[in-house]
Amino acid sequence: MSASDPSFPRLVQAVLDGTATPEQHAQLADLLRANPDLRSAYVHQMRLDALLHFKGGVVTTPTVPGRDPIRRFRPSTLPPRVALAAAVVVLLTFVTLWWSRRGVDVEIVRAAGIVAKDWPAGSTVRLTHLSLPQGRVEFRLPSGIWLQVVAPAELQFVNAMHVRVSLGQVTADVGDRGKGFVVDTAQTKIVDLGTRFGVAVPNASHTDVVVFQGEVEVFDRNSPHASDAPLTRLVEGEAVRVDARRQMSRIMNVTSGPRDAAWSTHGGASGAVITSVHDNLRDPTELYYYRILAGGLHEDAPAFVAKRHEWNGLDAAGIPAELLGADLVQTVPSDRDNTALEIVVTVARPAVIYVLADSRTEAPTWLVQNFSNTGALIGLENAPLLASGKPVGRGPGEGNMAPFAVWKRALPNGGSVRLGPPGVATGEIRPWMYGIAAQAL
Amino acid sequence: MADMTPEQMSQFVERLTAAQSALYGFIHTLLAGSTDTADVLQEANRVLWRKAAAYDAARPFLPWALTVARFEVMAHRKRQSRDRLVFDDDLLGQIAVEYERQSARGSALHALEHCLQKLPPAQRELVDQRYLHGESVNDIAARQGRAANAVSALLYRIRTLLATCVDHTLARDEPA
Repeated sequence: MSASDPSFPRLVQAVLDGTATPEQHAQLADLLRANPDLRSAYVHQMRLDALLHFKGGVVTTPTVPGRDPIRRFRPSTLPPRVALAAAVVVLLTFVTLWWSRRGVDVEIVRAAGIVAKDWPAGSTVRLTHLSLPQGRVEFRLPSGIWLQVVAPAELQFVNAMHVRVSLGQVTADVGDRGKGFVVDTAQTKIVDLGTRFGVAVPNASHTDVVVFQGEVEVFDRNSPHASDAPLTRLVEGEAVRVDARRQMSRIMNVTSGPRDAAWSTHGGASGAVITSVHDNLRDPTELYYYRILAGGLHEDAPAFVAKRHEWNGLDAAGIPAELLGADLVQTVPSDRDNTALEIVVTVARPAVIYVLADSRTEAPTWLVQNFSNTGALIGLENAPLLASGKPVGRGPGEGNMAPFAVWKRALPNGGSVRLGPPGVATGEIRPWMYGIAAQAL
Repeated sequence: MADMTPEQMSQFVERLTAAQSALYGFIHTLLAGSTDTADVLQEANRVLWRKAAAYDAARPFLPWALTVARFEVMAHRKRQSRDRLVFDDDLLGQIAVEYERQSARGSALHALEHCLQKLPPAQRELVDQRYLHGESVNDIAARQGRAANAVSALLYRIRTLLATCVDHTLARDEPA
């Protein structure tokens, strides 16, 4: 074998990456023993690798005595010998910390409720690990990625494109520059394909992955081969739970306030009236979730998961007053064709459940029998596709609107209500999937 | 150390400091990229400091420091289980000789900076991703949609180019 043989670079790279097997180590030793050219090439590679790592470290050369940085730490009365000894301590400490101080310079965007850390907005800190017992912090990484971390959380910042989450909830807005951003957990390796997504690690038993926009690939973290296919690929509106045995299960609900940042896969403390939404879909490949937005029904509120359609007032009068500020469930638009659909909505306190049903077609029987029509209307804006480049209308009466009737049913003691499939087509008009909302009584 | 003057100690610390990148590379090479490299370097620094009084300031510092470091590598090897050993003592000696030959021309860090500036932008970006941001080859490959082997091969070629450039730069700057 010569140094130009493709297998030698692979062998050296395996050594450099720490992935070389005992057999590869033995093969390398045999080659270096037998061939001085390979020995020279090996030393070139290792020496340059070390120099590049050294250069890329936080501190490229340690402080030396007699120069300004050391003088700052040396009182004028300190004997020179003691000062030099102190300098050597600095040097040895530097060596010890040389690797461990590698990390990522992150900008603090916002911090709330944290203790023992003075992190004003706009400041920059270098992080290798983050232990956050309480509160939440928003960061901006050098790669442009925005991250929010919610306590209790334990994170390792491997580099500007790679974070490990041992505990806690992380939301990432990756943007165009951050495609390929990686989040590791005990079970999964999540590779972003340009998106906004969340990862929750409540304990060591499982990882929840939620996609709010775009797409991610979820790999088995411990897969022995980097080329192995992903466990799954998630698109906007989908979520999955991966347990310790790498078994995947659907996450039915993602609850949040109006913004993605305060989301939860277990209801959380959002103050939502609606505690859960479940359906009868049994297809294990179905990974859509129902998004519960606490207090989220207002002009331009998103109507469905994975679509740009919005709820608006049909005209300048706006959304009916009794609906404003209600909890809103973003339903799944493709369920408009599901004639066997059953959805169970549960509220934990006295509440009124609203169903927003397409009024261009006949109302389904289950709706007429169990709910009352308020006579009010709300508009569903049929938003243009993102690829069209056309904007979504803003405010009441703007855009291509379809009228939806507002139906309601009171649950004075809380509890659950069962909903059925959307109505059937009237002529050429297929009804859209209905919306669900709730107001506390 | 008792018989060293403050000036001698100062000079020793400065030379030890300047030798850190070469010492790190030496141990990294002999241990075949082991994660124990930083620990062994720290131990070698301690021994060098303890032996400071024995150092003849009229002689080159680096060969003496590399000899001490090599013994520390061998001592470290003895503490390891057999299945973690990569090179035997004979091969270790051969590699050490080659390393000393390649590093004899002086500090490579400044030359490396010069050589990095000559890299084409795409290669410089790859070097930054791997060494400045610390990304793994697999992560870089996944992000670029390329095979990990292709990224490894490119990094190998870049390191070879840089090594040649560093050697030429140091040779050019040698006093006639």
